[in-house]
Amino acid sequence: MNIVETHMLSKRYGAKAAVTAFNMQVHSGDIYGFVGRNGAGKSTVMKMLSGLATPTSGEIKLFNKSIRHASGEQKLGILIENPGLYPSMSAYDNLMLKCLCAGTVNPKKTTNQLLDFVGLANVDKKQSKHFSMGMKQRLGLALALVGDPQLLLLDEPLNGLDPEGVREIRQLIIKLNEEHGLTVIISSHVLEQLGKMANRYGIIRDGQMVCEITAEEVTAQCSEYLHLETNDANKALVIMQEKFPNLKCIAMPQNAIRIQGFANAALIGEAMSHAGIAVSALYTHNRDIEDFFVEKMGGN
Amino acid sequence: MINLLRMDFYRLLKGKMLMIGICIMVAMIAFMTGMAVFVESEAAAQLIADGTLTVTTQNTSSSDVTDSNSSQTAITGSDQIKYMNASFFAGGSTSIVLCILATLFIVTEFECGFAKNVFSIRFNRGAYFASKVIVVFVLTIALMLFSIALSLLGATICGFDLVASPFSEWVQWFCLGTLVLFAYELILIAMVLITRNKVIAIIAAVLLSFGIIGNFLTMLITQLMPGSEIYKGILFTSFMAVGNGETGIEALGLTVILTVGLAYALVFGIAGFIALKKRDVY
Repeated sequence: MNIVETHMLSKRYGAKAAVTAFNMQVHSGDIYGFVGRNGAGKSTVMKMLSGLATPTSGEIKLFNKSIRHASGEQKLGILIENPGLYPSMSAYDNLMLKCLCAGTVNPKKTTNQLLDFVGLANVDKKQSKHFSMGMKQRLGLALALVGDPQLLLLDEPLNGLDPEGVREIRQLIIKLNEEHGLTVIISSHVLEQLGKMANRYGIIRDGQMVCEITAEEVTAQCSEYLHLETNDANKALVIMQEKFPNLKCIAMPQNAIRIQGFANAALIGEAMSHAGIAVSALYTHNRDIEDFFVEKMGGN
Repeated sequence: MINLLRMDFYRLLKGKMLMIGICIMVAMIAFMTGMAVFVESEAAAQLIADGTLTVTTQNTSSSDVTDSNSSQTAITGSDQIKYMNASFFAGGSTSIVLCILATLFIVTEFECGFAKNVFSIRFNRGAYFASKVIVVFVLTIALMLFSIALSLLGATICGFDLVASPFSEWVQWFCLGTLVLFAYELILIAMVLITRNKVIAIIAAVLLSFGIIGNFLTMLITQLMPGSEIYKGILFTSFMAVGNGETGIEALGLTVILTVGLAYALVFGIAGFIALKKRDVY
């Protein structure tokens, strides 16, 4: 079942198109890694999904219902850009406000449970403006969890966190997904961390969905390749095409060649040697997940 | 909407905003009462007689006129509404505190980003707008009553012998005062929802509640269209008329004040709602 579905979603700010003909499908139980460069339109999509921004055109379906017809409570928790806290209020009061707004049956109990869940039970009456970035993010996550949401939209929840904080938030998200069955859409620049959580990805470039891909497919596409460096890359490429026509060879900068497919390094080395090409490097390389996404996102 | 109201009242009671506003109001009423005590004193009477001190009262029947008749400043023997107007309503403490409170109450939610938390679980912006308007209206009534009680208490403590105003006059004055102040607040709420900018909103609240915009408009009309009655359509004219008690209300006309107050409330209420509905939340 699709928890989120968008059809030809567009958003324009004056003459500038922020999102164009955007199609997205998030299945129930997914941790959906939403990746794209700065300004690609991730936050705009998230804001439209959460009802904060109105689409210029297109349709959004949450839980199989168009949000145009949504008027009551939504089973949606968000943490978009910043946690949205009243700076002069405590963590408890900020959470109480959200609980009251959501119509939680026992707001005091829920507030205390959520504070405990995100590890902020001991901050007492400390004003949120005095919180560290990590504490604010954790409180933001607690706010997003008010009202037992079925879908979490987290925009850069790992921003500004130290490695310990990143690990804590990551573990919380995985726990919510595994133990509570929450569907999570998470955008992050920390692709390595995203790789440890997400089971599906959506890649956005210039406001358009480039592709939606499962974690398994990403792993397959990041599988190992041979890296060959010679004194004459052009000649080496010709030799490769002659001797190994089934392999895919990509010319890289600095006389390097990337060889994809089931390649035997020893045979390739021998072929180069016979052709009188000096080989300075020949080794297997596992493609980094970050490289994969950067390439898809349109980076260098 | 009940949940939104519960949230708003919790925030009002738990936050510092209301307490600070009440403290400012108490300080301003205390200052105005102190001024009243001074004006009633022998020393002030001597200074007035010498011509060193001039006490002015405002009359807004057609335009701003300054009257320096010392007999009008006598507090002992005047009625309660007249005292209220002199000490707090025309003095401006209630309007200033209420306007700034209402502005801050709305703008802070957008400024700190908490509005995102609200709108993500409640897509109905109509209910959101209605809850804010209700809170501001209740706040206006509560602070009006508080100001009246505090001013009259101050007068009693200072020994001013005020003549009790008839209940019907109190009701009329209170309703019109609330309407005019509420219209002021709706102008500011619309301003906040259009600009979503704290600085602009506070500047607008100060300019409006201190009567700077109202005085400027009145002056402009008087200069450009002498003899015209357009000034009656300015909310500030109604505000000043109510601030002059029964005399001012009679001079401008009850219907005019009611029509102007309701018209402003309606127009700016609709403008605020449209701005909330149309604009994205960031």
